[in-house]
Amino acid sequence: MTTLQPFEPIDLFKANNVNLDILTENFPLEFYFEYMIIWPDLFFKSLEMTVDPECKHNISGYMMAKTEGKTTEWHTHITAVTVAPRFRRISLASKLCNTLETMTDVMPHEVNFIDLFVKCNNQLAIKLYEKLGYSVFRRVVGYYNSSKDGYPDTLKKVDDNKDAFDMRKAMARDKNRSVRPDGRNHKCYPHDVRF
Amino acid sequence: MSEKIQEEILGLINKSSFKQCYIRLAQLQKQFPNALYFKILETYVKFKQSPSKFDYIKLLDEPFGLNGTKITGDTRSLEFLHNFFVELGKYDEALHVYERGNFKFPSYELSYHWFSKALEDSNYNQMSKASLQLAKYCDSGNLPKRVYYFWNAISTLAVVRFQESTLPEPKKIILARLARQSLLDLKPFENVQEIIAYCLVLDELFPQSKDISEEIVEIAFVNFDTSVNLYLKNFILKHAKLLNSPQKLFEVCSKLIEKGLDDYELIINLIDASYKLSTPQEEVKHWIDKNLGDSRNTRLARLKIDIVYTSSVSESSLSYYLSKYHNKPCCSIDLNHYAGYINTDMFKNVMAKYDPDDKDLIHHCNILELKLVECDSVTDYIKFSETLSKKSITDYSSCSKFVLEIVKNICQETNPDLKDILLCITILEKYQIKDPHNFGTMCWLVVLYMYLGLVPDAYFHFSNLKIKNVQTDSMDYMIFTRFSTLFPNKQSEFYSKTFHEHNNLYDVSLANIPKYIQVAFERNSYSKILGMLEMRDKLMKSYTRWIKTLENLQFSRLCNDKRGNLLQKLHGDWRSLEMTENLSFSDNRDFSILDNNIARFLNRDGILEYVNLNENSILLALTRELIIEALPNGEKTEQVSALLEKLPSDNFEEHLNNNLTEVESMSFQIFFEIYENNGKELGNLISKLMEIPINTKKNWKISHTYLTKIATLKTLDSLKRIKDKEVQKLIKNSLKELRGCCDDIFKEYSNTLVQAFEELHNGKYSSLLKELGSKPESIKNIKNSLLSIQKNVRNL
Repeated sequence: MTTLQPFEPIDLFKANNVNLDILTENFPLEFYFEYMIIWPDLFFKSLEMTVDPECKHNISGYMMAKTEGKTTEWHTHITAVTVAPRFRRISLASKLCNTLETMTDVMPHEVNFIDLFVKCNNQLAIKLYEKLGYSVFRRVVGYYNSSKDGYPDTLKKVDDNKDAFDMRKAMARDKNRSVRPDGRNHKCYPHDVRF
Repeated sequence: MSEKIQEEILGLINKSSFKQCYIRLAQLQKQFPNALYFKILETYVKFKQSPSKFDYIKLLDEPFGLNGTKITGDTRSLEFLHNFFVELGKYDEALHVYERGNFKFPSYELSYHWFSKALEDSNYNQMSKASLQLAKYCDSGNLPKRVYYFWNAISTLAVVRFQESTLPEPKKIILARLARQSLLDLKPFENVQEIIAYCLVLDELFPQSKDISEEIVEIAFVNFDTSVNLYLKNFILKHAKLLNSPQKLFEVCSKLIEKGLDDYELIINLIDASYKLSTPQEEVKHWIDKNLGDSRNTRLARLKIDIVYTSSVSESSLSYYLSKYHNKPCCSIDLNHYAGYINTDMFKNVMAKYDPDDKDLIHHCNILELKLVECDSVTDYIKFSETLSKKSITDYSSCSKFVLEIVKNICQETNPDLKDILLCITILEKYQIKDPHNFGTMCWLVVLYMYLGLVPDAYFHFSNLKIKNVQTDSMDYMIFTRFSTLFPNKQSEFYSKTFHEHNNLYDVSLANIPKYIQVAFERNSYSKILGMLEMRDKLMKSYTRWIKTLENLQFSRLCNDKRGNLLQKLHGDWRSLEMTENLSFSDNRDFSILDNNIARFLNRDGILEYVNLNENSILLALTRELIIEALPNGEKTEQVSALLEKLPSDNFEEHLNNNLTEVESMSFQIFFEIYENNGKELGNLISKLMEIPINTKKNWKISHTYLTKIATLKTLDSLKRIKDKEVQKLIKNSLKELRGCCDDIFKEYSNTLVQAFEELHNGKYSSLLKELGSKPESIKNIKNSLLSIQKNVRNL
């Protein structure tokens, strides 16, 4: 019983059931605020209507996204889409992605495509995104490198645990410019994905 | 230059070099005879030199107060005056200087400063005034004039939502009309944020009426022709319902759904509207399926349709939902909501159809949570434990439900037996190996170790939770409540790293929030501003923040450290609270992570008693620290008097006992006695403090009682005000006596733990542990942990 609601600042107090997850990043308050300020409508949550609101955990997941780029590169970027363990495997992440698509395909955003980064070895997530219509556009070598790993100095050395796939879904107005069947063979550096 | 001068003067004040201050200021005033700034600085020096002799009326109120004679437009003077008034607790005067400055020396810059200061001070009334002033400047600043009317509307909304008590009804009506009219004059609105701001004004500043609802629905609904916004969806839905027109409700819900919003709130309202419009049941089902396809919401909608049309859930609808979700963890949450409309026998039969052999773990958990079968946690755990080895490491197993059920059943007893606690720890430690990222079980391990007072072990698991940033505010209560009397160890990572790192949320992020809100205004993010103001308020008043601050002060007393900076910060934080016009605390602690019915664990002698603090406890701790601060001077302070007035006079002791532990209560009475009665009964009270047994309870209360006594006595020992030789001797002897028995107390506790642990091997629990495959490990770790606490405590 999910309703879609704007993510409010005080929701951050109630999201431990989502955010205590080992794979979920917890950002500084300022980072969340930046998203709320610059892209106020692209930070939203799925709220479970049957969970007692007195209990702090009625948020089942959330989407944090932004719009960026210029001309043909104008697009929506999914920064975080995450779902509480209790509400996994019921297509909630898909629902959040679809809602984002609904919102940014129209005014005032009218983006050309939506993109996201996913670790090359995260097969489960890649499958999910493919099911939603995303495809690999390019491989970002060393995207998840730690400071110890340093910045990649070649595109020849690939590592599924350190590289990201830049996956894109084209909107109709993009005319499939953001889709290429051989996306996995196109490699780039992390600085190439900054807009 | 002025910043340097101010820094120089403040530096001299801090060193109490007042003579030099005056010499320097005299030089400056000679150099700049017309500069008001240096005169204000001089007044401040007079205040700092002798606060009690400072003639506030003559030196500050008469020239710069609410009816002051001097007005300045100089921003550095205004800022200094503002901070000076704030330091004196004169919050109205602090912003009034800006207001007056604006009227005599109107400028965009000054109005902007006024607005920013009002925002910093959480004074939404002044923000509202300042924003209207800003709107008077057409070409100044970077923003078009129209935005300031939106700033005004949002500020007015903030007053009404958060500080309504400051707003008399007639003024509220005027401000509401002003906000609405100002925005109406700006039509057509240029973006969604402007529409949201206007809808907020109509929704929150005006009484509910058909006209208001119609206007909101109209203005918000038309926007959906070209865009999709969740705030507007909420406005439309709320007000379409208030219009009491099923036709309209159906129209808006259907349009929003057709836009692609799979939203259960829209769906149930569409069903209600359809029913009232006498739309056939099958037609509604068909409409939903056609427009939303197959989803959890649409399958649940079948149940809702049944209930609305026939008052009970049909087997086919139940089967339709269960066929896909019987073994998903959301199932019990969804269906418990409708359980009253589902025939239990039918429910059992349909559920059984999908897992006749009861082999699916999640299916089984669902039937337990739906209360379709009786729970036997041990049997269930044994039955499903092999699934733990097959799951992916990053997944969480529902087996934790059985384990936690066993733990919670044991822990809901008051004064749980040590053996029981060790049993729970053994089970959970073993479980954690198989389900390493399960935060539910990890949190309970933290609680169990904290109950035993074994903070290093609790901290180990707490660290594994990787709590950071804003999470700290809702989770730190687990290990930092009463930390000064549980594990006051400066060298430990617990304090030297985590405590300080986690305080960045308050020291850095909270301090940054006004700047972010200002940016939100400037970027027209009107929909988020009220929420950001609320967030700031909740962080300022956070239980965790105040508990940690007050514990840190007690920790400093325990170590005989200087507390000047901590106290200065405490006063600043308290002034921020006073400025919000609502002196209260905000309980942001997340107990739901442990259980949805936490009250059963929080009672006296319960497993969570150590975190059982409330608003009264925090106020008492604050009063205690302010009393201790005031004691050396032997003078009563207005601040303490105001806080003491909040305490009940007739059942004072009862109030203390209800909100503090026994030893905390006695400690409070001791300081209160010195403050109120010059310590007439001090000797008697110290004897009573010493009589409180330390090791009656074999748990966290051993360290807590011992260290609260030590902290109290060390504070008394440092008070030069206590002149009575007998009492002085009593304090020293008591300290000596306590320190003398420290090792024995901890050794005895350690032996008791060892004994309880050995009983786990032999008693009734040995077979249970065997069944669960949780062989108790060595007690060595626990003993070492206790020894490290003992060493730490012994040195204080």
